[in-house]
Amino acid sequence: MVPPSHEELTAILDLVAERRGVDFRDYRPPALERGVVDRMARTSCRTGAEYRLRVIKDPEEVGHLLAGLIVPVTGFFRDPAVFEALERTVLPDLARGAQARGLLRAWVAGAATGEEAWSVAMLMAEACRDGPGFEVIASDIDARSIVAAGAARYPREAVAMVPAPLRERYLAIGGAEAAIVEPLRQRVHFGQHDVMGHQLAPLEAIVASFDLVCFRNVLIYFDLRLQRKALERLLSELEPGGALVLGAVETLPHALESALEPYPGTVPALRIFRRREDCR
Amino acid sequence: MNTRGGLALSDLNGHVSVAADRPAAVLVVDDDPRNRALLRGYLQGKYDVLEAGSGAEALEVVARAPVDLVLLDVMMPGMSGFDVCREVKRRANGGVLPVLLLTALSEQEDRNSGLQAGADDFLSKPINRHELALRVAAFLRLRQQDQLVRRQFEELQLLDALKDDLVSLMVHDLRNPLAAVLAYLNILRVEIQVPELKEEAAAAFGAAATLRETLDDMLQVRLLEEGKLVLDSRVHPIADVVTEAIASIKPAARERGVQVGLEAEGHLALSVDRKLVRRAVENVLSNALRYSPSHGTVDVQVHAAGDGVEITVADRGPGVPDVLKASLFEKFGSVEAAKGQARRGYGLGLYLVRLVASAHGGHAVVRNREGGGSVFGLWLPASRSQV
Repeated sequence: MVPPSHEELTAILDLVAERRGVDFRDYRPPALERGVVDRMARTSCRTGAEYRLRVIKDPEEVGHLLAGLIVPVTGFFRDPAVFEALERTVLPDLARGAQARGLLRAWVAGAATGEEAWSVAMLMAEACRDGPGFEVIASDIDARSIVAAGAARYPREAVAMVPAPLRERYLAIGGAEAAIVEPLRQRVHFGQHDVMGHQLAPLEAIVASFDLVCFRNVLIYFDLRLQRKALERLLSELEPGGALVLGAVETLPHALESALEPYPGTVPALRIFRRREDCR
Repeated sequence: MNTRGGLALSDLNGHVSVAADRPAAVLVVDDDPRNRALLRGYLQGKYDVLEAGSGAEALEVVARAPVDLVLLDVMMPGMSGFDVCREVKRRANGGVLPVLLLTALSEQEDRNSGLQAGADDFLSKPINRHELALRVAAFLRLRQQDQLVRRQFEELQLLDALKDDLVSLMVHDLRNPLAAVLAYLNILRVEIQVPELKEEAAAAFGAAATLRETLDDMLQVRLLEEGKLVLDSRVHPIADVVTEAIASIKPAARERGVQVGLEAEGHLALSVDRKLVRRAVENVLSNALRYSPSHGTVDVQVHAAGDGVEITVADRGPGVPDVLKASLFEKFGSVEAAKGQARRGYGLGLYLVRLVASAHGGHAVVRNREGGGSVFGLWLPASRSQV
């Protein structure tokens, strides 16, 4: 295999920018070339030009490439204010609403190695102690992170942010390792899924409908047009009255302002939204 | 033998459950308990949700509980979703029991296999909540309509049977006093000494005799319909039977001034119920007389046709439009009835002809006569296979 030339690399990144709005053309992380070479090896492409053709022909490939280029920023209870709002206001509210169905459902997209999904699961377990049941669907574009997330084992220092009562209830800490306890593991289903792919939700969801969707680590890689498209798709899977947690998106796309409102009782800066009951 | 139309009650033993007085029951079949609980969550409240963890269990549930719709996972260990679907459809016995297949695969081949197994529709995982609600509701509506039609059909059959019973009862109750009336009128007709009244007495006797024939026809129609009439079959020359029939309608023919001619191949003999066939031929003859212009002719023929004998009566009446030919041999069928006009006959005559013919394994005959008019009759097979 010949490493891609500078021109070939640029042509491939042009495709990524065009397809997914993730623009690496001004800033190239050091891992970028390594990521492309890795995908070339996995797809048995011998030259950069051949791999570029592959990206054009196979709609899934751009997702796999992105998965290798994006370095996930994640951690247990990252942004404590967001989790505090979920614990105090949002989840008790949603748990009450889900009583009739008997099941509270959350989807954590861009779950990477699982820290956020486990954090959400712990808070849901707390909110649902007197029923209803609950489950979390956690997905990522990268199949390898999903395997790591499902293993549910972390270095001891990674769980330092987990509040003490939760740590006692949901983690088994032995030596340098912390493991999620079995009852909680059974509540979380991991699956590979591309939020811009042809399937609206991960297959593991079985029914594509959720009370809570965490989308904190996904939108940052999209341009505005694709952000809007992703959010529109997602909205069709959010229960009326359900909550959407976004990350550092500057503004909610204009077209979605009628469907979403800041979640009552939360600070708007936390970017937790509620789907209005009456929309569609 | 039920000659009154296509469907008997036994064809309809699908699951007839009354959708009006209970919520519809949806059976969720999936080997994964989580998936079952999930679907239950989205369906309960609106529907009764039943669960089965395997194909075999699903068939058990369908056999013992009322089920209105099946949500069926395709990929299951043991019996596949396709097999379960096929079996559920077979057991529904023609009734509408919708089966929606849950599939992770959107491949055409699987969809084709599903359709071949009788599946009504597909839901791809992950299932859209709205699609689930809409499709389930749509197929339940279909089932409800199907059941409504079935219930109404059963009610109609019940009413029809009640009405038939009532008619039978009346016929029986009327026959005995009528026999007495006939006997006394016969005495009067013979013994009466006042010449001016002799003709009236004869007319009264004739009218009463016609009434008895009508009652006899009704009785025989009922017995033939129910298959309760055992044919008293013996070999008779058909020409003799037809000659008898002609003799019995002679007075009526004379009254209308109609000539009845017979042209018969005398050697033709068949194993038939003589009384029944005679009655059938009489009915064809009465029909011809009723529609013949006065002083016309009616031509009767007995001839070999195919592997049997055809008895035909040709008239010079107004003829029968092609579209009405089939309905003439229905119960109460007549040209006037079909045109919405007042009936000239009582409408059982040709129906009885059809019943008698088919009881002998033959069929009724109707066609246009060359030069105007119609040909009615019946065809009887040489070697009878009872139907």
